Amino acid sequence: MSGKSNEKIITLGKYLLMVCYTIFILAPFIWILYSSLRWEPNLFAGEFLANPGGLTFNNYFRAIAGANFGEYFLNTLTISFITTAVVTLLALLGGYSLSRFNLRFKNQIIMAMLSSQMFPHVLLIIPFFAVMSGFKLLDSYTGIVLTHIVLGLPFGIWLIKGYFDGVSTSLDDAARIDGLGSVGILFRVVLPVAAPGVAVTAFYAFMVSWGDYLFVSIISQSSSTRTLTIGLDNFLGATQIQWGPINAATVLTVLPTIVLFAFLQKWIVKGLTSGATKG
Amino acid sequence: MSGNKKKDSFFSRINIFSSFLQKRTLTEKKKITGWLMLLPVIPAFLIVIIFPALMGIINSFTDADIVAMTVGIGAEFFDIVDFIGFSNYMDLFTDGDFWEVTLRSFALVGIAVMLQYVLGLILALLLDEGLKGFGWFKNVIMLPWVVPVASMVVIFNWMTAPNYGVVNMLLETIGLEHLTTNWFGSLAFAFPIIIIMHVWRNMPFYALTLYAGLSSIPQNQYEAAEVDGATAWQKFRHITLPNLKYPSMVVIVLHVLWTFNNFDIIYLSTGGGPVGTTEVMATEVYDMAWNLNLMGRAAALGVIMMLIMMIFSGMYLKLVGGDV
Repeated sequence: MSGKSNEKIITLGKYLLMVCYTIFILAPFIWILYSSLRWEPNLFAGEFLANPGGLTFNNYFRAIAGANFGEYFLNTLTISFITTAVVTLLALLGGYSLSRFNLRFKNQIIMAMLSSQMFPHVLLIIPFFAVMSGFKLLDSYTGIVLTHIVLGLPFGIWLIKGYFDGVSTSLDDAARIDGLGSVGILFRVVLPVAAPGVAVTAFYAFMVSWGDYLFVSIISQSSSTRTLTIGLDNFLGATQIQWGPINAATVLTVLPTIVLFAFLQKWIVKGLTSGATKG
Repeated sequence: MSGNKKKDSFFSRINIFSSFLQKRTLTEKKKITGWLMLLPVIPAFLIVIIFPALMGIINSFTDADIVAMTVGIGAEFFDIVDFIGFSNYMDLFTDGDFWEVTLRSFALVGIAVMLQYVLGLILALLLDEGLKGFGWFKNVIMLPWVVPVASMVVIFNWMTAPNYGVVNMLLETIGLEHLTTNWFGSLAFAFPIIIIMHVWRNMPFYALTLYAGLSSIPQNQYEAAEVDGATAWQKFRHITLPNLKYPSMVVIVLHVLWTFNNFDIIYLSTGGGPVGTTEVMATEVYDMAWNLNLMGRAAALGVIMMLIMMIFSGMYLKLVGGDV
């Protein structure tokens, strides 16, 4: 009898803990979304739920209308779109090569990719600046995109290679007997099976580019190449912070990553954890 | 006639070449394809690893400033800068800030990674229980990780704002007005909040990885232990933990590297303040280089960071026996 009530208490404790985790992880999202939909004066009234005038998209209109938001958004979108496309394609080829061919320096290359995670980006940015300056690429899309490609590629290849490793080579062999070349095998046979791995890599590249502050802050020199993360930081640095529009701008900055994540969620979770559990 | 002959020899040469190719084994041909596929990637590695490392090391022995950087990487660079030996390193070691900032970097990594691991492991175990009504939680758990750091910083700034932030409002509601404060501006709380931000962002990654590890533990191990009358703690200690060794290693190492090298979480939220109480090595390098215009000294500090991470990675590789 007491064992049963003990078990009940333990189950209750588990549920309570789970609720705490849920609140910890989700509350910030809910609060920023809710705040972005309140009239600005209501934000400062010290009330949680009182909303005279109801909820509104006013902050969003103000954010979009003001302070280069549209320009920054377009910059960010262009830069991260090109980065994602290039990184995914290159990682696909490189990852396939490292997974399927027994190349001579294979292990050294894989080690080099992983060790690139070791380098402090704040140190990398100094030579990057010199290179971009030397090639007259400061303040250009090209300069930023190149930087983001180089940043995203090593880990991207590692992710996709991990996925290819999990796809049986018997498919490759069958296709080779049917007369397909390596590139044909990759795109027609392996790619459809490894789509989740590709999705993860693409998403990772997108995240690197969309969320980057450090490299854009140095390579970009004018509003024509500035991205949303820089814009948010500028908003926050203002002497009189306009919380209404900033909250809305934050939601708009977060939204694309969440929408993409929602579409790819199952694959991303699988792809991210497969590298760590395969052993 | 002679033209024909020329043609013949041309074709025969092609024939020889192609038969030469045919004679090569299939694997050799495949290897060429393999290298071709990898070809675009190699310059990227050179750019991210070899070149910056060399350039960083060279810079750390010079008195370079931003102007020297703008002339690019050609010979002019060496005309402008002077080599000053180990002066940058000496300046760092005698500068009181250096040890404090280095220690804080270690503290941040140690505390954040430990909290993330313990909380992530507990969450993974909870997820593994399959509690009714929480099946959806796995699907949204990674959201903090996908949010750009700049957005996360705004969100936390807004929640902890001095007068109308939700944290202070909650404290007032439950009658703890005396605890309300300007969190990010507070000497005592700025650093803990930075750690909370790290935990919020990264802990789900640990949870999912460890959860995936938990799901792959063969059930019969637990059944056998049950037959032997093992307690819940013994099962956890002798079956669960050993089976999680590999995924644990991977997440911990990745996050030690990421946290130690992370720049924007601190730079965007406190800029190292108030009064330097959240300054870490990464933010110090950025400040020295771009705000104080001490490129050489910044590079020296960056090189020290790199060495620390190399020692750490070397130790790790030794521990796991060189398996990647």
